[in-house]
Amino acid sequence: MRFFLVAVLFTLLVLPSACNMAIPLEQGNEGMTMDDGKAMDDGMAMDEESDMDMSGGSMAADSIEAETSKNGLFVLRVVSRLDPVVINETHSWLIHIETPDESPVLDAELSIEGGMPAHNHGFPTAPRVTENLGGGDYLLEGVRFNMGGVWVLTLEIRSGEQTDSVTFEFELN
Amino acid sequence: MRRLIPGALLALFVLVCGAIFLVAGLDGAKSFGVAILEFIDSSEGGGRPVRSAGSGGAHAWTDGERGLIASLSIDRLPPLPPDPSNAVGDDAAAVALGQALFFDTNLSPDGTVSCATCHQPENYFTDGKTLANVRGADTPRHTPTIVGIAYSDWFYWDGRKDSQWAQALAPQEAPIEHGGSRTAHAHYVLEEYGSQYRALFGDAPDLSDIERFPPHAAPGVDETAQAAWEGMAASDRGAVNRVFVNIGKSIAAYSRRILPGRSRFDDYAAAALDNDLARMEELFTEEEAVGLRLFFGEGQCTDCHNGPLFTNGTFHNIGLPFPEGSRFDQGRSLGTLQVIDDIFNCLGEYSDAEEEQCVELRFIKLEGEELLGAFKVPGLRNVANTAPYMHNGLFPDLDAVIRHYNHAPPAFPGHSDLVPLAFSEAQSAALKAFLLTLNAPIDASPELLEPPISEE
Repeated sequence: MRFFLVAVLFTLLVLPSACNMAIPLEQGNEGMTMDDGKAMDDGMAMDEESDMDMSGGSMAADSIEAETSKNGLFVLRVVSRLDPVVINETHSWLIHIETPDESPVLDAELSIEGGMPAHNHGFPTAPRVTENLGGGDYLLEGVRFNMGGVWVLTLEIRSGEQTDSVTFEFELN
Repeated sequence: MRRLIPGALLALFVLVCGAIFLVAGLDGAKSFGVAILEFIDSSEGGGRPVRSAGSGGAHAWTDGERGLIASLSIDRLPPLPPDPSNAVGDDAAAVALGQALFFDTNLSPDGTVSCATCHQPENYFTDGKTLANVRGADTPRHTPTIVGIAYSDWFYWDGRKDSQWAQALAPQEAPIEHGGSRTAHAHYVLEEYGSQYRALFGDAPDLSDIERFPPHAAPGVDETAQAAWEGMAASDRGAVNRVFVNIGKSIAAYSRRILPGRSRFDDYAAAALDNDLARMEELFTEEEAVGLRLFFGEGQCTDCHNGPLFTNGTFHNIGLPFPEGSRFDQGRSLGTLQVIDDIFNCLGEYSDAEEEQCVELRFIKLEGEELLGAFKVPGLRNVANTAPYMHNGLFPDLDAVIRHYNHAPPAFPGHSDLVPLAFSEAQSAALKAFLLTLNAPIDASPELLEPPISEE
């Protein structure tokens, strides 16, 4: 009986962290990048401490690599104006949009969604683009993170008749 | 025995993990895990032992862990930022007037209720009651502390106010709290504190014409007050509102000075940052250190209780059961609608802030299931001195709080942000032991913690 209980206990203690890991791994393998710009791979995700929540919560402002939108129409770069990005502080980001041939997109309309998939909640604020700064630059205000961990930010871009979207994934730790 | 375990366990682990995951999904697996752990707890009387950290003992921290501990230290608390909506927020004369008003029971028609009736300095500015109770009647929510609350962006459990001064005004007119009205308050304050008021705010309106300025007039208080308010000229209503707002801004100037002091945990964090083992052992028992590790580790408490004030300042639904006889409380989903409609909000005419300074209100989150039944994350400094707990005072002590987190029932309606911790008794005790290390005196001069000696 005691052996059985120990075995079950072992299973249950290991299972949650093993199962918890499954979700970010699947998402991370869809071509996303981590905060240091490297492709997320099993080795990074299975880091010994990765199942522990590191809620200090910060990253360098320019740590997110440029991404090409899902259908290849746009290339986006995002940089925080708060450096480093820290939790619990509402701040703004600059978004630069250009076409794959490096022409700035001057007339984009953007909508924003995002949050923490692992926690099943969105941003604590409602960030939105408040200004077209010209030259393909846009001001995203009202960005706030309230926990350390993996966040996603999805931008839907409309320019003329063209629509595409891009998702940035990054970790505050 | 040891040689038998790895193979057998591996097979069992794969089978059980796979079966549970396929059949019930992650949440189901965790619930099953909780049930089994509870069974083991009850059958063997102990459950998982308190584990210290590897070979280095409970006080051995990695660089990453030291960083996390430091992020919770009061040494990381920035200087109190100004409140741009309150031009007198950091004015010493406003602090003095606000202190007098905070303790003045004449700011209620029967002379029995002041801010300090519920926010009692000797109880860390709480009242120790399940629900705030004035004149024998319960209000809908539990009294939160005001210590360190000046760092917040939102006020009340549901954040239906966006400044301390706007918050301070609402109880003045709530029939179940002070029970006053803004004209009554304006008359009283200009009579009793006239010179202080004028020194701070310049000219004060002449309210001597009782026909123009009825003794009891306010919107939404009761029918009599409402009718009297509607009968006033718009410009007179504005003049009264201005005095009323300045009462709130003075009280807020005082409340801003009530800050949390240095706790034993903060000294421990400094020792941990220095990697000073002797000092750490002097400051924390092994159980307290284990509790700290559980707090930011397995407990995931720092998801919400993060930063030097142990709060992320936002709103979460944690699946609290309804007390018997109570109804579902919408919390933040209603509070958002109230604050954007509030004439006393940051963007309103009575605010001293420029529009671009009202960042939180401009980018307020109004949609999302996570707002439903969500309440503001309270800070945990001095948590042991602020029982009972939760917006409805549901839990009488920290043991009951930790039990809730151990079981974490799903929220209905809404979505709970919790997953069951399933801590053993020893782990739960360690977590509680850590929370007790957050006790500290209030960081404010002693004369601010009692009614002012002399009033005008």
